[in-house]
Amino acid sequence: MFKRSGIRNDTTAGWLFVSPVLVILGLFLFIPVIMAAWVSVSDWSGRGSPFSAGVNFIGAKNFSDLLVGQGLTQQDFGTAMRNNVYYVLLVVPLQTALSLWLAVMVNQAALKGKGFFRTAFYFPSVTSSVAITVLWLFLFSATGVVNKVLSYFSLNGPNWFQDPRGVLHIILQSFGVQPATGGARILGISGWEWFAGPSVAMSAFIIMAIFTTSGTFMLLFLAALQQLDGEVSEAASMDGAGAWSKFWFVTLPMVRPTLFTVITLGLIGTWQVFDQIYTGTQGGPSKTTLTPAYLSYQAAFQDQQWGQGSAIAFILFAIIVVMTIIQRSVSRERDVKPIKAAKKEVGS
Amino acid sequence: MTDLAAAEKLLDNTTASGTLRLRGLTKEFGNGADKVVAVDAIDLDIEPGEFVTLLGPSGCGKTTTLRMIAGFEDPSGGQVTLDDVNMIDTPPNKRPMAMVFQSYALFPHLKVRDNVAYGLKIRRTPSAKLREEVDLALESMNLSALANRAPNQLSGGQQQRVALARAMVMKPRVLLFDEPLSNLDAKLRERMRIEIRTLQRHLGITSVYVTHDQAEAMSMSDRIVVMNGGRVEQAASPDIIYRQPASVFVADFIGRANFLDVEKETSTQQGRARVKVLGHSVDVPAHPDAPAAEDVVLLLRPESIRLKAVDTRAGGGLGGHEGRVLFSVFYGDHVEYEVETEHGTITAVVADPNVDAIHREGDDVEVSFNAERAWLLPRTRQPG
Repeated sequence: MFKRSGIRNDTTAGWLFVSPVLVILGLFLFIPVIMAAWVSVSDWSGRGSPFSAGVNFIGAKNFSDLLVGQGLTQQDFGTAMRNNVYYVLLVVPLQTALSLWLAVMVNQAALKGKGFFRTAFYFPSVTSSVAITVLWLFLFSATGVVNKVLSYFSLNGPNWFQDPRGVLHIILQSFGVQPATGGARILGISGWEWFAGPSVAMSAFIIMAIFTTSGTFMLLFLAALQQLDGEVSEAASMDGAGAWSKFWFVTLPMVRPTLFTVITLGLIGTWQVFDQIYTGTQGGPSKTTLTPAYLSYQAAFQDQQWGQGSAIAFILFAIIVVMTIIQRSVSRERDVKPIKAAKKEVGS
Repeated sequence: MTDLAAAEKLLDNTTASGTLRLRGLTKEFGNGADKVVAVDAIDLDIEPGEFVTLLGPSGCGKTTTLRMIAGFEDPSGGQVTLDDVNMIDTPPNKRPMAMVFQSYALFPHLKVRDNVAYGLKIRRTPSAKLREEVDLALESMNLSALANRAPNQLSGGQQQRVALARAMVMKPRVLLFDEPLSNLDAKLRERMRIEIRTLQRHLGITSVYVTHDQAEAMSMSDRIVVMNGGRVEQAASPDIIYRQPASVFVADFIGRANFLDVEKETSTQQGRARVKVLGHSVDVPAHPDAPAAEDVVLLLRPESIRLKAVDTRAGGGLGGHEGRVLFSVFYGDHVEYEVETEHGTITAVVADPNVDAIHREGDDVEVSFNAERAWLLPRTRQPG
């Protein structure tokens, strides 16, 4: 007969049960991270094991090359950072706003063909990003559909994916602002270059990112909207709220948890732009679509500088973590903290 | 309890209670073969300060009617007028009405105070006035101490008070209630009934209250509108609804009822008829349509039936006016009997029973009733 023999046995059994997942996580997640951490402080060239005798510890050199190196490496990294900052600044708010707007639209009871619109908006999200990039290259080519449409309005469209000019630069120069030279350089990039804005080529990628991801986030918002109590919205109406104030003061606050999710996922996704760049422009024109993720790939797989590649990956990781923490603390501030729901009415 | 003085001060001279009229109000859902008429050409006049309850089983159209009054449903036909102004094309947020919902529908992200203040903010009420009125509304519902709580920190009853305060602070000309008490436990529900009724009567706000709970309707209303299948079966005061129901449906839906198949003998005078029941010829009050109706039934409420012990040794078994007790249930404050009679099984309720005098299962009893409490009505509703 079996007999339960205390907590000790239960604990052993517990560890035994979770051991498969621990082994899998360790093997495919934890150990690779440790290895990457080692590689980022080594001069490993991708040949043989990173733990073999020929691989040397070189301290924080990979990091310092990137951050304070004063060389081409630092300049490339700075350029990639600048490109990606603009990408994030534009894509995250726009895709969040667009997806929320779409969700509100397709959530309306009065809308006919709801199913069709929901599917149509979600479709780009399930299509391979490579296919979409190829499509984008066609649409935004010098003689592509986009420029054709612009020509109907007597507008001369740029040669999108070949145009390295920064959008902010174009705007500033149209107001007669002259390019500034000199000044302090941050990450090897001059102040004027930092204010270039996304290049025309990058802008096409930005539009693409908004187009492809809005559908996914629309779905998240839609799920949140459908959780909302219809009576609350009606109560707001009875209180005299029109559509706009109802959205702003009732709907939006109630979908805030989803808003947080969408922004976080957006921040993580946009700091990891790789496949579009790899398929599309490979960093060009004039490195204006270079991103840290793509740079990391280039350093490791093309230039065999695996240490540097890993270092970029770790910097990216740090950026994403910091961003998420900031975003979390900002959005948490105004929450009403539930203390303890009074379960029973105390005689009043 | 509610603070009537504060409520009165809040609404002081600012609220003109509205006259609400429904004319041929109709709502159809679906098309063609799937078409369902939820509300079928309802006419109803609600006077200023009146408390009217729409009562009926689920699917009778009461909620749809309320939602058309509020503006959440577009009527397929007919009119809703408030003080002779047609409201049909006015969106809900522009109608001078307020509503209390079944789910309370508080804004979960706002504190109690901000929930109440929301409508006034939308109206751009100056902040000093806003603060004063919100304070009064909170005070009147005895919520001042909870002003800074979040809705999820309140009990159901407290949440419903906030919903009431939020409705009152808007000084509506019509106050709408959509089953506001059905999520509360029985004891609290009874107390809230009294509070809402006291407040409403005191302030004289025209109110339309939807419920499927007849006790709620009976205890609160000036007038009950019993609905069935999208139509009004009867609209009258609670005592008329109970004593003189317009149809078998109303009689059955409100309270408990025995329907006895009886033979109509003669119509004596207006509003009365002579029928043969339980072996006697009895003169009873009758529905105006009853004398002309082919088929009539006699409504006997269980509490108007009297039972008396029969001395079985005198012999006889089941006589013409006798019944046999099938079972009796003692509830403390009353005893309920099922009695087999020549008219079938009837239910009788005897209040404040004398324990020694309770009839037992199998006892033969003499069955009689208070003729003035009986009501003769046509079996089927007359068309038109």
